[in-house]
Amino acid sequence: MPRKPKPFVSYVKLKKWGRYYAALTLLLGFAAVNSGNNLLYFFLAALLSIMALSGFISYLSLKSIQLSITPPEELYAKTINYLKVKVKNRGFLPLFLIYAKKSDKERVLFDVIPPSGSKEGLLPYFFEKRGYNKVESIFVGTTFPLSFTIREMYYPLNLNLLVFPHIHKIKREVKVENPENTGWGVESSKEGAIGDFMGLREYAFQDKISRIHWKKIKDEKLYVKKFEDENFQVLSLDISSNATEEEIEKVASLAVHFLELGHSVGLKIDGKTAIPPDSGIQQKIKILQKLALLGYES
Amino acid sequence: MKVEKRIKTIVYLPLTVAMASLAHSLSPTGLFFLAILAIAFYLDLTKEFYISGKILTALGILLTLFFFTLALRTPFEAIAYWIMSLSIIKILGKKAMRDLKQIVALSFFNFVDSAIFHYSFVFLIYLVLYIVSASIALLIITFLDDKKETSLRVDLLNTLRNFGIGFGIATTLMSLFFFIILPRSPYVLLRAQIYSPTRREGFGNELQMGRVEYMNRRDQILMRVKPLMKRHDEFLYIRGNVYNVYKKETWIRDPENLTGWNYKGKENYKSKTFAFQITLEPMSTKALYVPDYPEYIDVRGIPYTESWGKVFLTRESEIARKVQYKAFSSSAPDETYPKGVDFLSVPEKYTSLIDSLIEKENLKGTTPLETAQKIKVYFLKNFQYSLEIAGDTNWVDRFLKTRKGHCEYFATLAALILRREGIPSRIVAGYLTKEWNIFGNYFIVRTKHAHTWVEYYFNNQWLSFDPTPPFEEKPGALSKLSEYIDYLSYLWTTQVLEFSFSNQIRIFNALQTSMKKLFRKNVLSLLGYLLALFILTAAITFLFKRSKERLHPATVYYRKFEKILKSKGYKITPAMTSKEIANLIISFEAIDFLDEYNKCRFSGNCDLEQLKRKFENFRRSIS
Repeated sequence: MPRKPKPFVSYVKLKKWGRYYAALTLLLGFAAVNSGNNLLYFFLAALLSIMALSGFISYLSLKSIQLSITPPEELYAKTINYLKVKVKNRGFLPLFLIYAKKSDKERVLFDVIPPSGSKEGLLPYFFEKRGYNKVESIFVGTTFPLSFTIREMYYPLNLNLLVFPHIHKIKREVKVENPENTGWGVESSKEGAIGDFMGLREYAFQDKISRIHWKKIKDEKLYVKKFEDENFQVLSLDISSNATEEEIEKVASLAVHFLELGHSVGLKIDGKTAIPPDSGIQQKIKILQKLALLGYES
Repeated sequence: MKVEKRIKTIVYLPLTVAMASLAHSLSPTGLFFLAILAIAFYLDLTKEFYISGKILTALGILLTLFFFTLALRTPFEAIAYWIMSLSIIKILGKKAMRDLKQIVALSFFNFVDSAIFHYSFVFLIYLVLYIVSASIALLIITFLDDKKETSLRVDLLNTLRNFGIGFGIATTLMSLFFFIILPRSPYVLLRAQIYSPTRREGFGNELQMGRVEYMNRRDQILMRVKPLMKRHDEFLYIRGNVYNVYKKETWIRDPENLTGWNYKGKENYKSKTFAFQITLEPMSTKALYVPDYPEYIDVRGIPYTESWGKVFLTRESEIARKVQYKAFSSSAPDETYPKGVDFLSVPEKYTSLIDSLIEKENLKGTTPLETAQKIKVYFLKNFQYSLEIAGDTNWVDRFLKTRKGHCEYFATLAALILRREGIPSRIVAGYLTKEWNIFGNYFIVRTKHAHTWVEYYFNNQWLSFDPTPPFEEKPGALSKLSEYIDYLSYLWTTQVLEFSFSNQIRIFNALQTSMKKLFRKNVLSLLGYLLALFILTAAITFLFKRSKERLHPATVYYRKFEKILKSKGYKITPAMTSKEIANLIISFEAIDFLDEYNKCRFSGNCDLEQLKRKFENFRRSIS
């Protein structure tokens, strides 16, 4: 089992051209020692200086880094998520070619960060499973100043992120067998509000901007008026507490699908109401949180 | 200039420096390659003209074969020309990212190769230029490599260039440290000589009449002789070679080698020798020069023989590199009379002429010493030193008629007169110098200082005698600046080219001694040193940290705001809150600015543009 690297301690890996460089330096050293040519010694000294100085600069670069990660509100399993990475340069030299990575594919590169400046980038991050995922660390590294070596550092983060189940795209129209509001309203092809005012509900993705109730802006949330003749339905999705991953993903996908269409969706676990039906983004998050932790909660 | 072109130019720079260094040491042929490289650059950067890869590969193979055959004769030169050709071929072809890397790699080989040929301190300039240019090129390649792009923004390119210059300079300074500490062996396995295509002319086994005259007209520096003792003469006779047979207007050393001139070795001369450090340029001859009278030399890496006439000759055909050695001489003349060596013959055609001269001018003395004195006085009274006479077959006639000549004629005629008197004599060829470098405290020996004098055998020793009348050497065109440049060149040779294991030992010993001295002093002074060091470190750290503490951008505007108010006569104290300040001045713009400042500074929601605008409003309102 590979040994766990120490936090904030950087290490150096040789790249292909770095190996050539090292071999040439050794060869030159051999030639200098065995010929006694001091000009070769001088050149050898220069090569060693380049090596030492580039090591020192890359070390200083990593030491000057202050890194923070802001995850997005919604993280999904088995999908590439983008975490916002902010790198601050605390040093007096500009930082070049700093990258943060989880793996070689999940990497974000910052070309130049001025002294005392900072830069933000999006780090692609793949979560294998739903539920709480620990992001203990990421690797921060640089190939600067010379592409002969890579200097990397293990940067501890200790984040515990809640990852929602994977969401499948639903292309077909889903037939709802037993909607709880059977008989609610009739289909209307007309724009605008027809029928009796039923109250307010949270804005959903499918809603038209014209239906936003601008007088009611609360907690930075948008609301739309609900009318009697709208084709919105109240749905409850039932799932077993022993559901498989596939079933959880399907229920999560349905919930997201219906909520995006503006329906009110609730969640029942083993027939008991876990989340009463409602619509909007907050409802989606509640349902996905519940599903993310289904089976993990005692 | 387009970014791509700028990148190419930067990447080509180290190759240009490396090839210039190589071409310089291999001039004039090397300059031809440099000219082709310039054309290749022009075609690439201006015309974007490239030769097809297949043609270039074929050309590469042909050139490799050609230089391989050339390598059988002159391996070092062949390798150098081969590398230069490959570099040019690379420039002529179309280039991708990988090729740019290869060009930098080729520049490396060119530069390493140039280190084999160089010995001048100009190499140091090339080295610094190469390190700086290669650093910039490598930084840019690193950037392109990681970004997987072939274009860079101009501002970023400029930042990288500036960073590269700093990196290169720091590397050069650090190289000095590594140069000193890198391990050197006192026993070098394969001592490769610094190959120099140009050799200075010295004294070989033959000295044709007119040769010294020719040398006297040249101004090349041959060696620098640094006396290692406090007192020394204002001039120096430096022995190169000794000749014994005169025929066909040429002095010949015959036999070349015959060991045993009563060489006593280092141990026997410790108390009465004069020591010199000699730095000799590459010479086309075998002689290792030593001030008169030579005793022994301490030279490493060059095998030599102590031959008859107190002469040191290398066992190699020439001195192919700059060499530094210690030479020891004494006031004791040579006491060895090599058996079977001719020191008395005179060409028949001169015998009657010389005999009548001896008769006419009464040059015959009762002792060899007196004869030598008479010859010297005769020349001094009747002859003039001149370089205007060319050597030919009838030189004795002409010399006696015109009574003008230079050392070769005086010495030869004196030697022949001595021989006709039955006194064994021989010619010594070397240098007589008075040129002193005040910066480095050493004698400079140039080709024009070539000189010949006579040695005759008397009382079981070879006594030295210079029959040439004194002559005024034309003052050299050496200004103080060129004298200083020569000193730098001398330092380069003695401190860099000849830096060795023993120098390292000396440096480390000096360091050890100074450390011991420091610790030998009393404890209080040592504590004082440590305390001073601690205070210094703390002060530097404090200043460094303080310099790092940068003001919040909003505070910068606030400070300006305070300054304006103070200039308008408002009494602002540090204890005042912003609200109190606002109440004091009753200005809408000031309150507006202070509100924005507080929001920016303390709420974490800072709009600097807004703050700046409000500050400008305030400034306008108050002025």
